Amino acid sequence: MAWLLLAGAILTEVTATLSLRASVHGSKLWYVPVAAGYLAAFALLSLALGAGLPLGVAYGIWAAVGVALTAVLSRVFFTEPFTRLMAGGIALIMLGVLLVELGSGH
Amino acid sequence: MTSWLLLAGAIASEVTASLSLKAALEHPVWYALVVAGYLAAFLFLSLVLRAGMSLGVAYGIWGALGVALTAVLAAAIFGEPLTPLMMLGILVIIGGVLCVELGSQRALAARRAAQTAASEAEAPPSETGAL
Repeated sequence: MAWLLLAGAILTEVTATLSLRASVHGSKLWYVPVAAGYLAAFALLSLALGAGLPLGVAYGIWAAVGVALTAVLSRVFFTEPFTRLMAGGIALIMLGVLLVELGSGH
Repeated sequence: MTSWLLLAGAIASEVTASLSLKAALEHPVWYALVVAGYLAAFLFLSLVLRAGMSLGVAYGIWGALGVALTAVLAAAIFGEPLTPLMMLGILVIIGGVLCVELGSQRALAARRAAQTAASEAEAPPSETGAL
């Protein structure tokens, strides 16, 4: 259950971030999913923590998966450049974030 | 250049908010800075995107440096442990940020070169035509 809540938090957060990007060059209406998405993400993250997921684990996985999903989906929706070197960098960031959060042991 | 300064602003306000969140556990008055910091961070991020930086790059660097800086400053301010595993993680994060940054600059340079080549291939006939 905690993992489902965490997955929901990640998906709503990525939706909000992509909407923020869409609002920059598009309609102001995109601010609606931005606000709703971030609020839902924080609510779901607190529920995941309440369901027993440790903060370091939840935050590390959230940040790592969020960064990767955002990079891949920006490539799909906004045709941003995404080279092999950048993909390697995103993979290193994911690994590094997980090491910092899991290594902190909180 | 402006977009990098704005990104630094987004990172600084996000780290301030995260550190205030730790402080707020003891003194709730810090929640004011938590809210202000996160709002400022999203405002800065939206300005970064408006200045032309791509979302994948901005978000990756923002998230990565936010995590690394928060860990270092939490150790400095609150005396939280900074274990060898965390230090290794910070080094890996810095390497990842450099790869993303270098890769995006190369990709942008390649895209610009392709655009210039395309416009040069079209431009000469029209210029001579004008003369």
